[in-house]
Amino acid sequence: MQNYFEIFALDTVFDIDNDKLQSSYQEQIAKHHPDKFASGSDREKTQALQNTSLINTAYNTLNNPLDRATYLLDLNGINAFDEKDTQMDVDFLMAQIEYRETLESLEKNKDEMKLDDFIESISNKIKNSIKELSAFFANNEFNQAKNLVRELKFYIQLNNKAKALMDEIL
Amino acid sequence: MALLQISEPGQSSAPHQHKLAVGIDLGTTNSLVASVKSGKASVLTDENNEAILPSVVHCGKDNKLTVGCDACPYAKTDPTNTIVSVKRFIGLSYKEAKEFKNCPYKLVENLNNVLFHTAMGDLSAVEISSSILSSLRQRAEDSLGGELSGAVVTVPAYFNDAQRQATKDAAKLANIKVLRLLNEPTAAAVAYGLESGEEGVHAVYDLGGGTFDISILSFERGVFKVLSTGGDSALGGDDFDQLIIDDCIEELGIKELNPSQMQKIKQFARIAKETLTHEESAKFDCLEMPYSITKDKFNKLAKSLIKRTLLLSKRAMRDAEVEVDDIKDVIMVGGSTRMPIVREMVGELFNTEVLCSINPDEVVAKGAAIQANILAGNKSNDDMLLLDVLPLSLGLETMGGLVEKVIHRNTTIPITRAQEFTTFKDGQTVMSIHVLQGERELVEDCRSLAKFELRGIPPMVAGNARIRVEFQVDADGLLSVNATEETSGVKADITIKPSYGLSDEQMEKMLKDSILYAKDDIETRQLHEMQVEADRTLEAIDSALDKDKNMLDEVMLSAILSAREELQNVARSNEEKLIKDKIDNLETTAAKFVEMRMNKTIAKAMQGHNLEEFEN
Repeated sequence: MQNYFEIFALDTVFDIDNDKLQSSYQEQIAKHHPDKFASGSDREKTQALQNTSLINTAYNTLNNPLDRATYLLDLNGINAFDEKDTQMDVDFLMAQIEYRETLESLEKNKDEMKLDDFIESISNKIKNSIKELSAFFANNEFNQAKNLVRELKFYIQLNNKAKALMDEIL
Repeated sequence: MALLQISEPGQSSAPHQHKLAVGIDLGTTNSLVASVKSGKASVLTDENNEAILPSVVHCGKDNKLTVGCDACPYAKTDPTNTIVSVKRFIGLSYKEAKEFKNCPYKLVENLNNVLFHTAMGDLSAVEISSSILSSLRQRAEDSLGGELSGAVVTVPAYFNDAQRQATKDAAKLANIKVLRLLNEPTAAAVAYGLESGEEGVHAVYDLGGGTFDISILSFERGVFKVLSTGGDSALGGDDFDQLIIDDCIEELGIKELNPSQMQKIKQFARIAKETLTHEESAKFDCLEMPYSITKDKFNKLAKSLIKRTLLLSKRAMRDAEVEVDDIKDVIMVGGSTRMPIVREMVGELFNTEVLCSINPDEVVAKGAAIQANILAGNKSNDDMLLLDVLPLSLGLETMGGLVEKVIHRNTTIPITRAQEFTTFKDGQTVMSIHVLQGERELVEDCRSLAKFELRGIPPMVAGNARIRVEFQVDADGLLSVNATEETSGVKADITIKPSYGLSDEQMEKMLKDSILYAKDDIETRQLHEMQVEADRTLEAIDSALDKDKNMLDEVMLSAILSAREELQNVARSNEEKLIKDKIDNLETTAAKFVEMRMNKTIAKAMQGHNLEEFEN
């Protein structure tokens, strides 16, 4: 079975050729989409549904840096989110607690503008982590990559929570 | 009949047919049907040359059903039996429907569904919608001269699974084969996209009668991809009318309005709003008291509603990860975008020109028609593909009344995703699975789509069973779920339907005894079928004569030709029986000819073969 990178004829690396991913995705999806089989048999339709689901899943995984990193670690035999392995850097955890508290107070005050700033600053942290991540992968430093992936997930969840809060205010 | 169409081996006599496919915009206020004719999408009009069918259904005494313009006057005279804006109710639970303000209908609770109590009995929103769709199908078949092979029906991008399913059920009930449910903004982009062919990121701002939708999509190399979508399924032109109503009630100090007065003032308010698009003020009499409103005042009131649409637009941009500057243009859809204040504020937010060259009422139906034409196979679809996204996240209820999201909103569909769960008690054999849709964390804030039980899990120590729940969303945005216990293979398959909407049995019963299927409707359909049959017979005889005329002597030929002539003369008449008689007549007259052709065909097929080969 092809791995997700191979579906789009990409090298199995973290720094993927994004243009190629996009164009290859469009090519694949255009070939297999159920709309192309609107007057086809039920079997063809089911097949098309399964194919497109797989292509979309593969695309979503590769298109999202966190998922791509997690998947790449997985291909290298490392489970980034092993339930038995929960050790995290203490400073990092302390910082997280502070962020959560800030978010809670923003939630109480329903301060849209400050919330927007908060989302902005976390988004920047996410961007920087992705850059670091790319360096770790380039040097095959999978263990460091794993730790960073876990931190990245914290930030992304925090950001999603902040965004969800924004949604509720809107 | 079949014998007339006999053809030589390897050849098909079936004439290459252009399939009749249409796009249907089933709108809150108005509905339209469009079709691609000689390469161009155009809306189909009724006998009075009207393109718009008001989405109004009157369910009168003696099972007298009236749809569209003719039903509109009843909104004033018989408001409880005249369903206006039924789309607002489709796929809703009784509890949700009850929340509508100033609703003149008698709502009845039926399990989870809401029914309208009318002079024609208790009817569901699906049935009412299907009568609108039926009317559009009829119009299309009259206008295009044949039976429809299928339709693309549009829905607001923001519609949840229950609302989509209900729309599809309504189409089925109206005897329409749904080629695809298409999101309205995507349809609009198709209509514009194929015209300008401009690549890049576009926004579609759709403010209709009852719903608001914002979508961000990209158009690249023939692929339309929805990047994100958002909106409010209960915000639209009606709410702007309501602003005027509220203002009027306040200004004039009115205490209470009965349903018929309410309908009347609603209509006045709508006209006043439309007047304000080109006049500085508007006035009308309410309960014989004069009321007037200036454009400035209306704009001030409208701003709060429009601001909400702009916030939702910003969120959609954030979801799509695009900046304002990335947006090439904004496509305006829906009658409510005619309001100058809307165009002005939207233009300001996106800092770009708004596109409104295609009639905002017709653009969705036209785009749907283009897609229908492709899906029906009339046009090569190599040059266009539409990729939609899931409008609302799907999730499962977990411990403590929380929702765990399994597929996030704005994920490109079709998609399949599986999640594993385990038992939390020793020896647990049953697990109940509750599927929800929505963005909120608590079960009670999300829309319940279905609850089902996975039974027969082999007893195991808590935490050892591995239950895999698989969600599949198809290209229409409809969900099916199946759950399997992995170690034993116990399986439960469901298509999301039960919580809201109709079960298959309910659908079937409705199809059978729906009072909405008036007798003349069935008769009309039969007439259409007979006319199509006549055409087929004529084509078959023509093609047979074309090939084998030389087999006939003059007497036979002239007999066939005159029977053919007789059929031709009545083929377009309204007399089903007469057409049938003439078809039979032609078939009888041509029977000998058919036999001769058959013999010839068989002789030809057997040439060069031994008889034995055919005996098996």
